[in-house]
Amino acid sequence: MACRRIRRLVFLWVDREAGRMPRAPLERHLEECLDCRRRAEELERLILFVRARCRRENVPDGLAERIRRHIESVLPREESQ
Amino acid sequence: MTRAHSEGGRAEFERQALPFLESLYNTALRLARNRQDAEDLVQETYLRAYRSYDQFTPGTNLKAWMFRILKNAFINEYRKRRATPREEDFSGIEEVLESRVDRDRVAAIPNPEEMALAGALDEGVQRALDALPPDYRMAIVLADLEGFSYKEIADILEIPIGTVMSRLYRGRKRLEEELLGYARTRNYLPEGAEPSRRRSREGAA
Repeated sequence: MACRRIRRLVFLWVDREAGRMPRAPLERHLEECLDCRRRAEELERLILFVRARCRRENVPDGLAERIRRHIESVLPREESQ
Repeated sequence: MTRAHSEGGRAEFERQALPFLESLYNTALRLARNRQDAEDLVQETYLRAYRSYDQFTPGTNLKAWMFRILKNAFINEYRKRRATPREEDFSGIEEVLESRVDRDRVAAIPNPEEMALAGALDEGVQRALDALPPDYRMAIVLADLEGFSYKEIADILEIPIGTVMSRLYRGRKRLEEELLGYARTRNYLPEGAEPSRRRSREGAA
């Protein structure tokens, strides 16, 4: 299989979007082709790295309540217009 | 008064939609890049969602629907601001574009252990994400941080799946370059962690 096609498959594979795509040809190619294997590893590493380093923040205190109040204050005005 | 806007309708809307607050807020943070704007963006999202809750088809993907509203609210706000651009909105982007001389270069980032040893880089990741054009940033945040599928991202961003893929592809490539650039300027890049200069067949020939 050509590298160009493999790289597209690698992308899908890393994103778990490969569906029922047969894995054997991809895995065989990755075993044989250092460049493609390296690309696959780099892509996975990048995604994991960004995910690990982007800390999630807690929702600010009272935001849900502010959202409720915001809706309550805006909508009646709009509906009476 | 519509069905959704009755007291019961609002309670139902809140029961269904508020569980996504954490996800929406964190995504808003990545897009808006500061807490106050993120909070405003999320408030606006809920208001818009409640306004058009009648148009939501029960049983379909409410989370993706809410994210689509967030995306539209963000784009509106972004366009408004672009009319009066602030320097920071575009800093880095042009540099990245100019630095992409060798488009086929395989960029790699040091592995996470090396990065962890090299210093706290959370700021670097945030900066790298911030430096991406919003289209790419949105695709990456939705896929890599929020775990949406291509199909869901296509629905949220209202673009074909092929475009989702190309934005992810280009966005991740730029992100790698940004991270590398950041690591290099801070001397965080350990010896030997430089991108795998491809020992390609072309190069060897």
